[in-house]
Amino acid sequence: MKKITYVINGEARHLHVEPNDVLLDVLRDKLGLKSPKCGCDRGDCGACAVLLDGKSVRSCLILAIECDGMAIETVEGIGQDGLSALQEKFIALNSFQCGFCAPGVTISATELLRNNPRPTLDDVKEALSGNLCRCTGYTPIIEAVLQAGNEGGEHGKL
Amino acid sequence: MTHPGLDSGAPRPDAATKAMGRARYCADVQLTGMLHGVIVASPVASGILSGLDVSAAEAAPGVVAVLTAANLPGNNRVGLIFDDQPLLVTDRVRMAGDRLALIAATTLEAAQRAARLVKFTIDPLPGVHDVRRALEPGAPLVQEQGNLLKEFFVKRGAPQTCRDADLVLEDEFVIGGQEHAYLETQGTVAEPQPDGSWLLHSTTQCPFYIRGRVARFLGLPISRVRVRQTVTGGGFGGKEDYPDEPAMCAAALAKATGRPVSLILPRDQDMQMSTKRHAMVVRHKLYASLSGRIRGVEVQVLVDAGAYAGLSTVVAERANISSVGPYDIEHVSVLTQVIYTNNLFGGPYRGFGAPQVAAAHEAQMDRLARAVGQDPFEIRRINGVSAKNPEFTSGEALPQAHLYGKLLDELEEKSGWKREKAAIAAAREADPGACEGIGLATIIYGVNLHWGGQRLDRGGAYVLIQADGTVNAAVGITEMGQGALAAMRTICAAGLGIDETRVQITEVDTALVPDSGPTVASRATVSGGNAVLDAVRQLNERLLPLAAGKLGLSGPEGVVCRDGVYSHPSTTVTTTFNEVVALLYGRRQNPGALGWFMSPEREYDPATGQGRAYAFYTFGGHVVRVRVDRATGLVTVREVTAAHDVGKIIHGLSAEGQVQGGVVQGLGWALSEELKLDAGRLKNPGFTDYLIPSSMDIPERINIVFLEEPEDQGPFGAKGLGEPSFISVGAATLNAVSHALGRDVSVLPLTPERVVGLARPDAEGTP
Repeated sequence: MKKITYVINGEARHLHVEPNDVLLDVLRDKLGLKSPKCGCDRGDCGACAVLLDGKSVRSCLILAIECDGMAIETVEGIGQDGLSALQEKFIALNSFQCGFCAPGVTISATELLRNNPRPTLDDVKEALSGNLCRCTGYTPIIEAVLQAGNEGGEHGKL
Repeated sequence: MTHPGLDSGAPRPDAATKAMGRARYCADVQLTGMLHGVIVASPVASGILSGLDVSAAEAAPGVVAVLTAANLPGNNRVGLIFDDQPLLVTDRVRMAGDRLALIAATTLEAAQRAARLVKFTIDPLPGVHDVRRALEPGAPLVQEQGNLLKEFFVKRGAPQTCRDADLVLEDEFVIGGQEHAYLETQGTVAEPQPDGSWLLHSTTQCPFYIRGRVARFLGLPISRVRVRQTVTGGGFGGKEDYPDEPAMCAAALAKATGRPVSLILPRDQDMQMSTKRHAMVVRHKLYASLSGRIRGVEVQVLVDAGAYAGLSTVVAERANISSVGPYDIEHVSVLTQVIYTNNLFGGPYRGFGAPQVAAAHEAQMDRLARAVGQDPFEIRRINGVSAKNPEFTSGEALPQAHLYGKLLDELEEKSGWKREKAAIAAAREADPGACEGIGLATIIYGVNLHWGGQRLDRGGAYVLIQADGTVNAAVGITEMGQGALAAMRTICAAGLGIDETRVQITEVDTALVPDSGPTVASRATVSGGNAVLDAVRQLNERLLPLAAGKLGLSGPEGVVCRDGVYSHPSTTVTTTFNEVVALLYGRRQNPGALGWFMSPEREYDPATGQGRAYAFYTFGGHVVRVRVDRATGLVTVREVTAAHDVGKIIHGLSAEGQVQGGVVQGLGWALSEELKLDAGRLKNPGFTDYLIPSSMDIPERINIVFLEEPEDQGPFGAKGLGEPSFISVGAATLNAVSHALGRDVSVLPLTPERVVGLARPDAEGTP
């Protein structure tokens, strides 16, 4: 058991973890952040993605202990000061059906838009290529990211 | 929005919850004292369980209970239709993934660790892995009564019709199965209640099925078992009957321990154990005249059920009647055989057997077109049902048969068929190595339950008007992502004449709404929507006279409510919905109503497949344009055009979403998703090598055509769309690849390995 610190969604949290605890389980079970989902437990589906010091990672593949002192952002944090421009587009365009992929998709797309506020279609497809969705065929997700890039990028709500 | 519906354009009711990551799925349910359950399963597909030692697992830290067939606290039966499957193996192992033991522990990790301590010995037995050999004399028996589970038939017209046919086209099509790959795996949290009753939180399309089977397992009346559907992360048929099995496992462990148990399948177990789209072999023989008119069709469908019946016979019943397509043909003979093997567990999957048989009948249509020198659209016009020739395979004269021709016209126009075909031909002229193709496929589909299941073709809904003029509705059909809540909300609001945002739809709780049958067969909008409308009709019978009084009229005739305002053409006086509701409450009138729907009773002869198979049908079709790389075998999909006869669009964005999602899922089945088996064991139980489409694999363009000619039996004229959006995608892709390669294709999926084989100049037959 080791005591570590995360800055989660802007708030410092101290916690004890075992050396073999996986970040996804710690987020979900110890910190009660349920937005990251376990879809495959081996890094294939992207539903567990979170931002670690601003970079998207698959939290099912990372040990919690490795993230000591780092900033972690989940979808709970992205929406906490009101919906982001991206989330507004996701809602308006019916981007999600079952919604299980939504948290991971939101993380990947948020990372993209922060680094590349006006992405091209190919940029968006590539950024989302590690997030599997079985319901939508991706089109309404991609469209929302493109629109958020064109409109939301300006007022920096991402 | 390109395709507006009856809705106001408001986001679907669950859009914000999902976009904010707040939706609570099954694995998000956390209860005090909750244990975690795991399943220990057989890695081999056929054998005898001769030894099972759970003592080390029982002694492992954190373990609270270990269950085997010997100490299972309930009825060790799973079968829904046939009693051929135990929950836990007693002696015979019939499929890889058969359950040997269940473990509950204080943490998931402890349960998983204990699972590895279970020692078992399975003496292998020869298995049956080729559906084509399963009925041969001497084939090993999967079930004691024999490997033939059931047969279905169509016998229409007489074979003499075919005697003087100018040509005969015959082939065997080998069509692969498919993993549903819902992003949320199967699971249930079983919660024993203080009074001895049960509450289950389940990811499911069919909470009433879970209730029934868990009640049977526990030996309780169904009123003592309550199932609440959690937000469900995709279903596609995979959460029709299968969720009952993990639910029974969770209930068994909860019963044994007296504590809540969460049992969520890990992805690899889910893929190995749960039901799949059936692999099928379709032998299709077609007799025709040189004019292109089909004289007769003879089909044999071999359905690989796997080791247990599940709902395979129900799927096969639909494959049987769908195996000829939307054509009026004088002589039809179909034999559909449902066969036990030791392969994967076959079950419901979007299209319910129709996509597999469509691949065969549509490939044959294109071959016929080539043989008689006709265009694929023309050959379908010659043979398709029409106002003049309205009889489908079941012998029914279809009231909307004329829509098939209309659908062909729209599909041809919108896909730019003639232009694209000419461009492909010109490109080939210029460069013989150019490898582009375009393919068409069309289907007819009964968007309700087949005659054999019509007793379940019903629906219920409670609609309750609250004192402030908002509305709660509880429905018996489920949301699994497809947009059912949005559709029910739109229908309820439109029926009452109020804004959608006033209506709140409650997900299924089996204690609150009548058993509405399964949410399958693309029937949710019609069965749920009609039930809502029936409730709304009863409420309007109370509201309209009150409104009439407010308008100074003697009776309610002609009074309408729009946007929450009641009016009548004879007066300028109006009154609001809220005022009328206040009056309803002031008079202490009943503010709620239970709506009910049942589809019409039908007559059908299973011995001949003649009669009224479904209450009504929809037509659908796809045109797929591809580029094939002969060297790598990679098929790139350029453009897909989908056309659907939907009756009436209820929720516009959800309707579009079904089509976009159905197309991409269909392309996955057609091109990349291959279930690789080694003696019944799945070799690729994960998304690393079972390749579902990613954002990089989608077509450059998807065009959508909706025909909106109302169906009398649907709410506001609507039909179903969920499955048709998928069904002909695979067949059209097969035809496109065949066109690109300039040769017959008789196999799906068309993985790169197979396409490379087909593209070789010397390639013969099918791999």
